[in-house]
Amino acid sequence: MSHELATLFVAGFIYLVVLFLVAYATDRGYVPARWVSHPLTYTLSLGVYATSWSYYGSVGYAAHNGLLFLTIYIGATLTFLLSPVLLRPILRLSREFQLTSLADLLAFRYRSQLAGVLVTLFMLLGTLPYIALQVRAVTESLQVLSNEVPSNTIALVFCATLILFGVLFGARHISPREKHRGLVVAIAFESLIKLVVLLLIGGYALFGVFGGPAGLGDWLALHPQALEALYRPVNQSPWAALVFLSFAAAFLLPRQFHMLFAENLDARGLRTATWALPAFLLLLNISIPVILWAGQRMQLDINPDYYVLGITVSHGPSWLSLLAFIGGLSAASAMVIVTSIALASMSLNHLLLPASYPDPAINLYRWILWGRRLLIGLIIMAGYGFYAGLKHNQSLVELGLISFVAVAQFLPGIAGLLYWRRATRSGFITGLLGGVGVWSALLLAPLLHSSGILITDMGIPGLVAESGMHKWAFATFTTLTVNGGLFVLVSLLTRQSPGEMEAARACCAETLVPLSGVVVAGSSGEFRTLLAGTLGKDMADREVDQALHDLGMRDNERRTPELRRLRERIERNLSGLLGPQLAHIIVNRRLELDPEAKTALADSMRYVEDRLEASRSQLQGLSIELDNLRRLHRQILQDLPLGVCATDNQGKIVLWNLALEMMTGVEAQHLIGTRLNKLPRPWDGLLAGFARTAEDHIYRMELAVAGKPRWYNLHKAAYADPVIEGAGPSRPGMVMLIEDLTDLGNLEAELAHNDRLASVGRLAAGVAHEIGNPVTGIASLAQNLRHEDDPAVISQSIEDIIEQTHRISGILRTLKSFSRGSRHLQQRETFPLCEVIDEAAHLLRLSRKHDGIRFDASCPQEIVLTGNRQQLSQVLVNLLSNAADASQPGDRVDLLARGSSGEAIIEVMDQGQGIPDELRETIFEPFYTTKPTGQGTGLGLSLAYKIIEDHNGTLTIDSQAGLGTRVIVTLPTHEPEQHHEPPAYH
Amino acid sequence: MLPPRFPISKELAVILGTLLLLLFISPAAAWWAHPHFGWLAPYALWLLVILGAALICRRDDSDEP
Repeated sequence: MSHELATLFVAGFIYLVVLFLVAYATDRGYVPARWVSHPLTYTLSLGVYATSWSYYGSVGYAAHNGLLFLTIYIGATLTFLLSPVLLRPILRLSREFQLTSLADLLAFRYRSQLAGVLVTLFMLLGTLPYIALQVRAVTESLQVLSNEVPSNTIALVFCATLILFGVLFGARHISPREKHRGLVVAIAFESLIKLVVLLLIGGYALFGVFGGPAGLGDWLALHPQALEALYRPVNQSPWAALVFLSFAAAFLLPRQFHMLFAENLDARGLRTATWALPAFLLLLNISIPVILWAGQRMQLDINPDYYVLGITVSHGPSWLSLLAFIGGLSAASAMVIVTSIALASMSLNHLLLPASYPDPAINLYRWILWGRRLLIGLIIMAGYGFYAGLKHNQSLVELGLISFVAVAQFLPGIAGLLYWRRATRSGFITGLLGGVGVWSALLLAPLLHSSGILITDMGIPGLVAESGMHKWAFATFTTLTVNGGLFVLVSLLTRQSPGEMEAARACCAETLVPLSGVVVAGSSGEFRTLLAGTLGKDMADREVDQALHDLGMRDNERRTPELRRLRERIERNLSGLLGPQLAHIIVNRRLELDPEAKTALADSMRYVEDRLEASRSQLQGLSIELDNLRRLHRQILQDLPLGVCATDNQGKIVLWNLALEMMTGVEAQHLIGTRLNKLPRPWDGLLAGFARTAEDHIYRMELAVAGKPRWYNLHKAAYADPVIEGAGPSRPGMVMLIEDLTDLGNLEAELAHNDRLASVGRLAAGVAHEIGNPVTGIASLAQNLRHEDDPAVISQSIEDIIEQTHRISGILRTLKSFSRGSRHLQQRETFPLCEVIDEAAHLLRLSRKHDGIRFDASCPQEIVLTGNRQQLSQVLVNLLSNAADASQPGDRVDLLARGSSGEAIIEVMDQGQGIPDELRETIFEPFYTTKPTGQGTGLGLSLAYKIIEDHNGTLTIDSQAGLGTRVIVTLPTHEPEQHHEPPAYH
Repeated sequence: MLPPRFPISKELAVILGTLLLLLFISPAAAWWAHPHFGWLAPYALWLLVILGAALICRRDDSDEP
């Protein structure tokens, strides 16, 4: 049952309106995001591979060549099976360097604008017949369904509608980061339509025409030649060639490359497509033999290319034939839309922009957007022109395969890109020109000749016939042999430019190359100014802002390694807009690198770290082990409870660990690559000063942090700089450890204070007695004064009272001085040693507990110490107290001090029982005591040891059983004449 | 520290690709390309390879391209 042409036109128009609505609803966010980004949506969008050739032409191809039609999908299956070694590396490159087309990719790898131009031109030349094929399929399907010859106007309206769709939904954004979600969903919708319709038609053929599988079996039993014809071409001449061609076409055709890489939202989508797209293609093709046999059974008098329509028109319901038409329309429109968008992007980046770069004064974004839209229109109209100009005497598959052989010419270049770093630009261009030349002679010229455009076929068909090979096998073999041969030969004979070598390394996932060179411009602000000369001010500002945002950098960045990264990011972002080669030229020209400057370790280290993090899953074998080791070492450094800061041979920070981040409040990401003197105060002075000073260790350095004093131990050491780039030794870098003592010091101070209070408690009775005597004396003198009239006696009594009160005050002052809470252990002062010794001896003499023990103190007046007076007093009190506790009434405790070559030696000697040998090692341990419970804390000696150690002194014990104990303390004396230049602390 | 994730086994993908070529391009194709096996034989073999690919993908949990 045929249809009116007008009915078909309206049905087609309604379908395209639905397509517009699907894309519009997606772009407006009406379609749930999880559907849009679902891997199956992405997979279905890749179904754009199946065009009207698959939809209509497969049946026709099967009619003449049996299962040969299946090779087109077996090859595509191979492409997706090899996704991990083929598609994923390209996806990585496309994302990393923002490459949106095959021309971008090859121009980037071979660092050649000419390569981009050639790829684009050849892609246009090879793809226009393919677009023409779609237009032809639509018009011929109308003819089959309506029995009328449609006018060219219908083809023109079809093309105009697709132009409108492409402009509205395929050229909305100019940056490759912004995906055309509406386009992706619309193309996925089209794939779904053609799959469902083809399965419906297959189902109709099986059940409607044959009456079910049994009927089909019966028919095949009666017509064994049908099955034999199906299998006959397997493994014959063009079989392997077609598998090979479709293998290449499945990712190199512009529409495939665009949907695979440019519109990929999520890498997981590609993983799913590895099996889901072949499954889609299998389902799409499972109906083909049944439809073919149904057409043969019905003895349809039409081109087998259109059996899909024919079987429904003859006997099927009218809605099915309308659906069949919609399915074909869907297959054709999807191909034309995506191909034109992909070719427009290529043509803009590699033809239009290099040929006529616009004035920077105009809005370049708008120029690019409208340029792309204009090109979409031009390309579709060129396809229409091809359709109108060609005589339609080739099958649909013929036209498609001409394009397949054309895109296969890029395979050697892709192989070089992924796996052969030695491949050169000259090799690629020469090989491509050779392959294109042979392709033009073997396939294009006969096509043009058969259409009447060329007057001679140059005897090519005869040449092919003489070879004894099938036409497609011959074309595939010859073009790729010439192409690949020239590619390899010229690559071996020529040398790569430095830019080419860099790009080749970047394309090879196993190679990790740190960024080299230093940007001449000193800040991101300068970047804006310099880029404005080519991009215009607005675009320069937006691109620098975008790159800063991408990298998480602050505005007005000045660190050289960060500026180098910023430069690279700007180039990548521009690559997505202008193409890699033009972006490279602009950035090289505007943001020059200093050829004299050397890359510092800090510059490369950040890059290497980033790359290792980004491509961790690509590491293999020993690389994984080395990376594990690197992570372990880095984690150890990061988690170390000490601040660690390392600088490279140029004094730039390469490591700033977590403890240091906590200590300083400054995050590593803002510091890596800067110099120590650029740190915020007060850390700039502390660390830069320490790095300059000759001292390798500084202990208990006081530093005012946020207005409060803190204390630090600093240590540093030089390390050999493992030069990543270049050879030979370099100046050493430096690693610094920063230990925050403040909290520990506060704890120690509290402990010491408690110990002193305990001592005061033990002295309390003696103190009360000492104070009681003068108080009694004062009371007696006061009573006597009531009855005394003699002025001289009164005066003397008053003097006596005053003397007694001075005595009490002295006792109290000593106690107060000893027991007061210290703000911190680190308070240092210079004082005579004898004052501390007298004070300690005086305190012990107050103790009634030690009545009967004589304390003799001796100390030269000239010994002066620098340190914490209170702490040293506590040490002496603790030592004297211990000595007194070990003594018997009548014994003597001596406290002797003397000076000796810059040291003060203090000895505390008792006449007690001595310390048994087995206790010598344990008496310095905290809370260890030999005294009865409640009479000692066990902290005295350990605190004394710690305090003396903090004063750079020593405390040793010389004891013999039965002969008493001698505790020897040595302390450095104050030497004012020695002066070290201190680091610049703040 | 987590052990590194290995991407989809490249080796398995290559083996599966080789199997596909073996089934469809090598002389082994003559085995199934026979009316005796019915017209669905190539589709069945094709499906087998697709199932193999789906199994490999299930083992691959890398998010990176």
